[in-house]
Amino acid sequence: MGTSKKLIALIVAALSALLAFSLVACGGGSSSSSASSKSASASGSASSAASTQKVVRVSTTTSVNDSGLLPYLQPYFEKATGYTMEVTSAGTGAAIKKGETGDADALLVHAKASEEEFVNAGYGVERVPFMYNYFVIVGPANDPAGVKNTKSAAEAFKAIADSGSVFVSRGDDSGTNKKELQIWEAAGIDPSQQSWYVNAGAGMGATLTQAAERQGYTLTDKGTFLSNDAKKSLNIQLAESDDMKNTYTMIAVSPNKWPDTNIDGANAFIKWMTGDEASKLIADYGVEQYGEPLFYLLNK
Amino acid sequence: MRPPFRLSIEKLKKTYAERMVLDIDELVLDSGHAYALVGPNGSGKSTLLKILAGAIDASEGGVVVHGESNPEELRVGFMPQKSYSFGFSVFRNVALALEGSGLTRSEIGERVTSALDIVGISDLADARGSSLSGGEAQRMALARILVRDLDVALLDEPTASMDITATMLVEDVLTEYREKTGCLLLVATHAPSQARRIANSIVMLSEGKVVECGDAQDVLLQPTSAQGREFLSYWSV
Amino acid sequence: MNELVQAFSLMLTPGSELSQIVLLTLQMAAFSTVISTAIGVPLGVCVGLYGFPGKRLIMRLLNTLMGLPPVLAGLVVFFILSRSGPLGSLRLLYTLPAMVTAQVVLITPIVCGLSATAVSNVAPRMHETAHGMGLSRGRELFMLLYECRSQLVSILFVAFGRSIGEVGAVMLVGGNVQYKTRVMTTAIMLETNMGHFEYAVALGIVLLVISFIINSIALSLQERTMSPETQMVWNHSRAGRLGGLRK
Repeated sequence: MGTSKKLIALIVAALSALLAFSLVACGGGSSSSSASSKSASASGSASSAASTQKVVRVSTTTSVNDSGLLPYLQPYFEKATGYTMEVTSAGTGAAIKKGETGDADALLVHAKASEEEFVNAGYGVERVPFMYNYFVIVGPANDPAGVKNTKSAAEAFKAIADSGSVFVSRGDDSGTNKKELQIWEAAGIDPSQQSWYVNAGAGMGATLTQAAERQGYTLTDKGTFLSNDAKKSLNIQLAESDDMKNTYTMIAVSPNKWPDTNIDGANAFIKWMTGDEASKLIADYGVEQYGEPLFYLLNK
Repeated sequence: MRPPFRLSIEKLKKTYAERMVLDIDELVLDSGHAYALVGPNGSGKSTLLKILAGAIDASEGGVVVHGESNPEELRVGFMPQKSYSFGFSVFRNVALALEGSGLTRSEIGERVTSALDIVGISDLADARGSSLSGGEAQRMALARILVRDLDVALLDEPTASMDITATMLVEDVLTEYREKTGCLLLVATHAPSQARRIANSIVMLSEGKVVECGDAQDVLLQPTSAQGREFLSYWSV
Repeated sequence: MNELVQAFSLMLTPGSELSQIVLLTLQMAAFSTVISTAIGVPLGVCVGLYGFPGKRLIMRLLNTLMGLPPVLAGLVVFFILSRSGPLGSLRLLYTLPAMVTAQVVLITPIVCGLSATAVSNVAPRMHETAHGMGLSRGRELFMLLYECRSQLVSILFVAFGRSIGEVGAVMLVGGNVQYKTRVMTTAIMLETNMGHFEYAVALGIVLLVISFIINSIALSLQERTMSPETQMVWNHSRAGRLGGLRK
């Protein structure tokens, strides 16, 4: 018995040593590799202390991320400015929250009321609206509610409610969800307790999947819809109505609340995004794949 | 008591993964007799007992029963080398062996009490079976044999974990049991003294084969085979 | 702290959304546990008890499936229940049965593997003794399960724990629909995505407390009921008869 206990102790010790070693090795490996990639992007001029300031943490919403815009812009941005971009995506609420908790340097979101609240509370420097697109209403091909014949989103929503067709809501307090609720309000309808109203509590992709499965309507940004398999069984029934305009805003996180945020990087990001190079890239984005741009620039 | 019968083991073979562990051409066992099954480790003693008990199947050959028209009716009890002790009380551990015996609850109670008394663990009747020591567990396992009216009792080293007094007690108990029931007793053992005390006959196995079979005194004093002489020479040391 | 108080008071308010979510979560976990153990334990016992060709392969498969990623299980069930899937006409997607199905796919291999292991640890030791005592095969099986009861009960808890804490598969096939398929874990995900981190943590604590209470109740029940009278069952098997007989 004594020997077997010793054996077990030995094995446990060996395993934990192995684990500790591999953790150290991984940690060392990854930090050295990320350091090398950073110094490469900074043309090898930066010291290691400065290289940590060379990362811009951009917090954005799932719909922006799903559209693929930021990965598309990333190499151009990094080449032009020497900064490394780290993008995290979450629902609008969580995306903005990361600014409040100091876990992001810049936000790229689309929910005006929440953005204003964020800036007014002193977490953000200022709102920089820079591009827009239109939400679209998608639904089954046979269009049971007759959304095609309506002129505005409010009218379309009313038609959906009148016909009792299934409407899948994101229900996650996201920018898209907030827009949807505004439209219901404008239409003078409270859908929340209706049997045809499905509160999915999910991201755009999952909501589209659910709308496709249920053959119902939903409000979506065009980029996510076009890149989602749901387009096989749902059609765009209403697009580019004025009450579905969707404005994207950038906000630099204020260094007053979190001194170690990278305000320089955030400003560089905003400056580059509103500059000529980015404007051209954004205007071109999606044209090749979808035959039309996914985003339009403001004031251009 | 059942009329006398005879077990004739014929051409019995058992192989594990192509290794022959038992190869018995012929072995005859009579009811009312006590046989000591001896032989070095790995000689096939346990395998033979398990096959007779029906716990495992033979690869070839088998047992023919003479003097008993319905051999399926023979009641066989087997005490393995390491008996399993159930988590519940010692009393119930033993009573379990009488399930389906047709006895009433009070008859079962009497038998179990008396069996526990014989093996000397009455005071442990309420203890958990799984809490017993090695020697106690063996006594309990023996009690499971004693409560039943067996025609064939197969025991695999029943006193291996017992001290000398317990061992001698068990030897007496087994002899008494055989005389009372007229059963065929086959006990695998490592002790020559035990073989002499409980058995009329000795069956010696070596590498799966029967090398000695006969009257206990004869085999112990005048082994006929080379393996038998070698094995017994270690014993006498 | 405020969030925690809020979460608990909401949970205890009948008719509130949170109380409805808690009820649904318990329903889902209970159904998943019962069905997966009803399938998994007998299967596992068979695998653990009998040697047969391909047993090693089956054990390996079971061990692999025990590590099945929940999302993958969810995805498989999703494809089957989806409108274009083989069972699409049942319209089960985004319903409680769909969630339970995904859970059963996920948990049954775990239950099966664990019970196979539990049984195979005891069965060989017990077999010779039970046979030598003349116990019938059915009775031996009963005694085997009885001896393994504490492992089987903890397997039940593992199954319940897995199902009550499952997110990925449930999100995928349940759809996290308010009042219909939203359970504690998907509600936590949703609150997290909405940036309500403190409330999400509070919901997590509520979930843990519920688990704790249920485990405690089940354990005390187990302690009280675990001494059934030995029933005298006898079927005519060969146990207690002479083996190796020639026909």
